[in-house]
Amino acid sequence: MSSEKQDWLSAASDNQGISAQQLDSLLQDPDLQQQWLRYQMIGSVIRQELPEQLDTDFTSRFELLLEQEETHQLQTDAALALQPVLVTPASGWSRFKASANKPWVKTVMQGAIAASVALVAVIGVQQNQQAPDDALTSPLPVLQTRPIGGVATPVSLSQSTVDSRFAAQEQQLKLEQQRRLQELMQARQQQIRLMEQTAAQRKAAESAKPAVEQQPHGN
Amino acid sequence: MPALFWCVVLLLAFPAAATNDGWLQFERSQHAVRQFNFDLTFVQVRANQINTFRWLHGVHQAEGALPITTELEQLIPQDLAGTDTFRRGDRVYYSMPDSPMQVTVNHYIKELPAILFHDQLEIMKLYDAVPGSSTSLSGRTAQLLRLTALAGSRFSYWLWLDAESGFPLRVDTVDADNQVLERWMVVHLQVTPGLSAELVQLMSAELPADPVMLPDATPQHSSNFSLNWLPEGYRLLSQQLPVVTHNGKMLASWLLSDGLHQVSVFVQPSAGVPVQAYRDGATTILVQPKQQVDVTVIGPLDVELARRLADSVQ
Repeated sequence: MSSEKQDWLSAASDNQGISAQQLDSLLQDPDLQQQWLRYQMIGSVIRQELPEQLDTDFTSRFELLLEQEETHQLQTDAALALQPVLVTPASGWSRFKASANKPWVKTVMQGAIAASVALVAVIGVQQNQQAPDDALTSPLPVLQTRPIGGVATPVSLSQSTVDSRFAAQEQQLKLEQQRRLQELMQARQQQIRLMEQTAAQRKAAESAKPAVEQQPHGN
Repeated sequence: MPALFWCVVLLLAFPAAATNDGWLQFERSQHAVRQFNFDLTFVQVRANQINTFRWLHGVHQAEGALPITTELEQLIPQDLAGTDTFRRGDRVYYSMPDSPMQVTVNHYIKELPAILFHDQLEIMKLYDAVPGSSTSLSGRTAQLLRLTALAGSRFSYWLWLDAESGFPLRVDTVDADNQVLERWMVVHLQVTPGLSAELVQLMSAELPADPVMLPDATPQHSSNFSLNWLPEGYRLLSQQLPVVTHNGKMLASWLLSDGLHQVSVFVQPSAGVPVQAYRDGATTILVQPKQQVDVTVIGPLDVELARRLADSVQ
């Protein structure tokens, strides 16, 4: 391709005049046509008018690919193979069963099982750790050593029957009992506070006198 | 040869302490509460109550040739008008709002967790020390130490000890199912090189020196009741002061101890109540009516043992 030819072609692509002879040669020479397309594209790029599809040969190449594609003949019993899907088109489960052996389903299922195992482990561990704390907040049978408004809740050992007619009386009895228990708690506290002194005094007394066998008895 | 002799003596003296890392940690924490100068706040969590206390402790070093040290301690309730407690050496003073100050002989304040102060050799008879994992507690690294009861009927202790100093940061009392019954937890701790101003004052405070002499034990009048069974490891302690209550007579009372815990048994005239069992933290309270009397058992026992103990009163 001479530079002279390219000059008029380049000029023509910039909307310059073109002779009838030059037009003839362009229509006949595929090389020139190719060159013409290239000049047009260069012009488009410079003017930023690029078409969406750069590949102008796309259609012709696709045609070629289609021709080269191998043809597959459908099997004669194709209708039979399709039947189960057709019979229960609405059932998602059977569709799922039909595809259950496909690799992607297997992968997803494995992932789901692993995730659920991990979830159970996480929840189980959290509950295990929370268990001791729950014991502190749960409504255990409790003696309120300093009752503010309520009374202590008896545990299952207690078989007190609450009759609404005797509710006030019952309440009085409970308060009385509560007071009695608190006194005993205080008495116990006193016992513990004096424990060491008692032991020390007893030791001193025993060293002064011959030891006397201590029998379990009240005071 | 003398060196070998002393080695043998040492090995015989601390057989278990030398072999078990858990007991070493425990010893360290017991040492910490006795030797440090500190100002801390702790909470006591029971099923439906939380109590806050400030606890000051210091060791006063007397000036002079002899190194005489005096432990000073103060326990102040923070959220209720209760008893202020002081300790100077082996005297513990209870100052109540509306009654005279009580002076007792005690080598630690009984309202603090006994496990932190009690003789380690006694505790080793009842518990096994198993070190656990370390966690973060109050912004510090804490090492878990489980004191597991050798007898299943006794409650166990889980201690969280500061990894750096060995100071106890949390003590949980748990039952056989590892349910937390009571929690003692330090929420603020300040360890200082010297005594705090409060304790310096306490050192020089005018306090009654001697406790009231308790009446002699001998003239204990005999009663018609006797206790015929003791839980394993417990023995009966003698009492010199009769238990007084404002209403109702006390027919008999006993105090049992396994060295670390105490169980009280009281016999009172019947008040016509059904069997009742309560729990106050780790303390079980059982009221069991019998013929003409009510037997009340109070102590860190499970209900079954308390029942058996109450049944043994005759």
